[in-house]
Amino acid sequence: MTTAVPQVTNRQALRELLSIVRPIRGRLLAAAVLGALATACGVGLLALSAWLIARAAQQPPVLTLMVAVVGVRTFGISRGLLRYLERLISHDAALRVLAELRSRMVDRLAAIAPAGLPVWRRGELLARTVGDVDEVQDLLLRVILPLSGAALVATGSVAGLAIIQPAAALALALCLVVCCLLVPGLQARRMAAAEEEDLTLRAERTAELFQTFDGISDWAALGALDDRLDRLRALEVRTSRSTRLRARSVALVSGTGVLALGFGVLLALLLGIPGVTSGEIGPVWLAVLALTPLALAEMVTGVGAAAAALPRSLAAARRVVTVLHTPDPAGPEPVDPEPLPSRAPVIRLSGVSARWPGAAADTITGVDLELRPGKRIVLLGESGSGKSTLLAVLLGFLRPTAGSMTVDGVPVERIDRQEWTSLFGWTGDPAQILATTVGENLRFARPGCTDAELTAVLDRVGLGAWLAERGLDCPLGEHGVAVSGGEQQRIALARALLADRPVLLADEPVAHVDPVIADRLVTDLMAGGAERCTVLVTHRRQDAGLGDEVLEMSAGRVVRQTVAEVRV
Amino acid sequence: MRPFEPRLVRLAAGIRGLLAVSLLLGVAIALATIVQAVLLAKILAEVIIGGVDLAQVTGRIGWLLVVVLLRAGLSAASDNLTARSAARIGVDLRARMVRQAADLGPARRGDQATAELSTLAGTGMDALEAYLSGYLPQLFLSVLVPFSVLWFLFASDLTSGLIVLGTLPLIPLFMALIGWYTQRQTRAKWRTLTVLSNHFADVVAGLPTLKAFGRAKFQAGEVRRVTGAYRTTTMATLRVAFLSSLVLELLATLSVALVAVAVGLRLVSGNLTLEVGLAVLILAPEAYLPLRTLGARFHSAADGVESARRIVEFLDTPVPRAGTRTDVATEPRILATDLVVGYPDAPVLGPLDLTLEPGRFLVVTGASGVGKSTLLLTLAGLLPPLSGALTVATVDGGRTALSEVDPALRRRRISLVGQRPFLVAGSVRENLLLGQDGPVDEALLWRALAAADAAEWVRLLPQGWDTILADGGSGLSAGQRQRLVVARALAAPTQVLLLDEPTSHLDTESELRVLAGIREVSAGRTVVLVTHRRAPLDLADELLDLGSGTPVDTAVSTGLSGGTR
Repeated sequence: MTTAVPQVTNRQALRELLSIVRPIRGRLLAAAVLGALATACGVGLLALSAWLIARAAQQPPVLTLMVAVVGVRTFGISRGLLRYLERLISHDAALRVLAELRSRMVDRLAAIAPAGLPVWRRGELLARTVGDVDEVQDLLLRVILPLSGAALVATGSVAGLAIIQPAAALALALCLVVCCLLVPGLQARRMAAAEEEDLTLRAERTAELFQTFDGISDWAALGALDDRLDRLRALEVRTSRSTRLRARSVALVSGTGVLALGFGVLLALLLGIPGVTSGEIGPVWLAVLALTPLALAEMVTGVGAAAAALPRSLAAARRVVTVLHTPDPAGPEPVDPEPLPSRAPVIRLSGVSARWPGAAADTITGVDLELRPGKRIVLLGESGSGKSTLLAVLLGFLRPTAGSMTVDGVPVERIDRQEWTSLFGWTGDPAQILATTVGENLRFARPGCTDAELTAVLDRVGLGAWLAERGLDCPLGEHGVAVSGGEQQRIALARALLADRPVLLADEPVAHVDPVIADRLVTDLMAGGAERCTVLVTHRRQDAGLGDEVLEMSAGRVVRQTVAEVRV
Repeated sequence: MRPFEPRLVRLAAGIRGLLAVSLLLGVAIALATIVQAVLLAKILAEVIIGGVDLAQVTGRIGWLLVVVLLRAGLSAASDNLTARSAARIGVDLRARMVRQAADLGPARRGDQATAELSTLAGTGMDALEAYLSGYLPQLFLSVLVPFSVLWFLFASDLTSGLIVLGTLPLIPLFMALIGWYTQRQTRAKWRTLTVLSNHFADVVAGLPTLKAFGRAKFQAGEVRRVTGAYRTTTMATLRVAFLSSLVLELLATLSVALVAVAVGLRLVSGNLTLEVGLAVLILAPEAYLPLRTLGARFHSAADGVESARRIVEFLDTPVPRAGTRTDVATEPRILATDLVVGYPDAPVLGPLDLTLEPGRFLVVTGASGVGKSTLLLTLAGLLPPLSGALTVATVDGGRTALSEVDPALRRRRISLVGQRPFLVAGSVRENLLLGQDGPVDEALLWRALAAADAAEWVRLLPQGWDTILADGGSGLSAGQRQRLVVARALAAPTQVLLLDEPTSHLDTESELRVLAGIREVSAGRTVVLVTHRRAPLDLADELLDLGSGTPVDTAVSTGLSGGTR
């Protein structure tokens, strides 16, 4: 039941990120430079101190040391301040990127819902937005900024040593290339596939956990908890392979860092001591040569961490961008949308077929239907016969694969999509309740309506007494657990009625409601008045008598279409 | 911030090993650091002051090489071992969380919403693992290394030792002061993150409805707003957290600068040898480095400790004690006396008396919201009764409370079909066999499918009953999902079947077929069927009408008691 998800390359992912980063590139540049300066202060502090101490040992007049003394103190103070500024600026920038990315994600999901959604399981979607977006934030903070800072500092340090002794500078450069470029680069490349797999597995695990917790009572009731834990354990075993690989890779990089800098010190001694003996360099400078590599330890650690984070954040970025690039099952928005011809539309479907993304065959085939103001349509049929799919096509969630759909003679593809959707009031099956108050659940159908209107519409669906007991601020909880199935359906119905749109699409609005109330609700619904067109999807055969037109569907086709005697 | 959550030691088995390894490696690393500094200082002093050439220090350089190799090895081993054991601890704790959620059952409501729990077991556990592998070993180093360095400094140069001793304690002091403030901020941040993830999950789930009412864009805006708020609160936390690392950096680097200048001036006056001076200079930053690294990892650690606290609290939530009795009769008679059902803070229905005779078909009706589903959860043993007795017959003819019965046995006796058809990602066949072990009787499965009016369309699925269903059975209609879970309950070898509105999504003809099927296949078993529709009434041996609800404080006789057959 899954569709092929579009594959996104690193290049595409980076391009998308670049478009998000562009407005804040000034901040990023400032952060990189400040970070490099802060690190450089640390290196400068130790190198200058080494010179100071070695020179002092030769017992020169104290005054000749004063510049170095002031320099050492300055480095000591500015390092902390620079780092503080760098952190503030870079984190603010990263959080801005995060906010933008998350919003783009929700915008995209809103565009492709609901037909585009089943491609990912819901828990996985959650993992993608919360987890992956955080990882993308790391790409900036823990990869790009530290790496650019390190490049500046490494170059500066090597250049500084080159003034003292070119050979020692070359040796240090060699060590830095090994521990900052070669090993982390090779590891990053080697880990790319493993990280990708690890991230996929983690997302899978989150989805699995979500599903497990979501139905935990059902699992327990089914006695399938051990089976569930086994599945989780199997997933963990697969995850642990990549965890081990990553641990080993991180260890290799950190070990190489310590080793390379140690060799840096040793090489400085091996090259510097003969230099001192031959008089090529002053003995004091030997201390600077030997101690500078030690001062670079923090920077090298940072590079190792950045390299370890790189494949992971890149993979996360790719997955985030994949969501952003998922095609809309409702087709592209019209280029030059036309407004709705009227708010009392005549909608005509002829020969309409449609399928859900990823389905091999059409779910509905060749449906003809006319909706006009005042008309009442009853849609009957077996479960799975395509009734809800037909509603999805009407709502514009799903683009027909064949046939035509017009409103007042204009093809629907040319109509502004927002305006098109605004024609319909809808109550879905199962009823969707948001985790907020009753009032909020209703109000979004008609923002700005009064409490009196809300009370009236709840009264209309037979929830007057219920409301009197609980009040409009009663929270409905996750899946609306604080209310029964029948109450959920009636709240959803109240919402659709409150919206007061020209067309009402009611998908099994009373399946969980007591029969007596259900009869009354359906009768009320079907007495919608001369302006509203009502489409009732039902399995209650007795409701058929309430329609002007009755469609019976089976296996995606209309098998019987009866028009009632002319009623006035 | 409390640097460590002590209750973890009790809950996570592998943590003692992790602590021991961190301690041992920490000591080794501290010693190697000191030896390296001393060797390097000796070599430099001999060359700079003594004017010796390379040949005379080759031995020492050789030893230096040995120490460098040792340090590299220790550093790699520490990273590798801690990451592995942290991952193992994470695996263990996740499994415990699932078991705990199962033990808590449906009584866990509201405050531990599913998305929140998944975030805690996913992202939260990742934070905990990062804390265990990154922060905890560092915590050891930050105690061991400064102490070793101080010991060396006092032994070789008192002044420098005093400077470092004077400034070092300021670091944990400031960390504690600022950490105390940050902890509150971190909790606030976690709350925002939780709101963010609940809000997001809710918006995604509700997208179709939101979109239909033209509110999807608005909700996307809401997510934008909430994320914006997240940035504001996070930056507020970070400004303070970074202030802490600013103070730490200033303290550390300034102290090093002080030590360097003081050493330099005493060298000029000849009160100190270069060898000691250089060793002090190399070691002074090492005393501060572990604490500074600790500070740099502070907020990730704060996340980790906060996750640890929440995980531990969740795992420590008292669960209803599981029963142990296994002597329940094979065809148990279930008896409820003065039973009040509901949630700890919200009684829903009762008191009522009820008898479930083996082989009888009881239909429960009543207004929506009266507590029919809550009653079924209680009868299934998933929700403890608030008061009154709910007992089940034992083999010796006596009775025992349902809550005393071993849960595994209870599940083999009683199965429940909830209102939300519960299917998992997997094939139709896997879904039918959920919770069953032992040999599979395919004929029985098909018979159950046929009884649930599902055999026909299951055969027509692309791969028949091997067709894979996506998450929650999406792709099937509500009625199809419902019929599959009914078939599953019918195929299970349980004696008591509790069905909550099993036909609410079916059209009348299909409903009649399913009901007839249930009646036929469940002959000889006890069935409790909750409904608000008329068709099931004809099947009932007995009827229980809960009306529009019974006030919880007044005893109402339901007028129903066990009849004879």
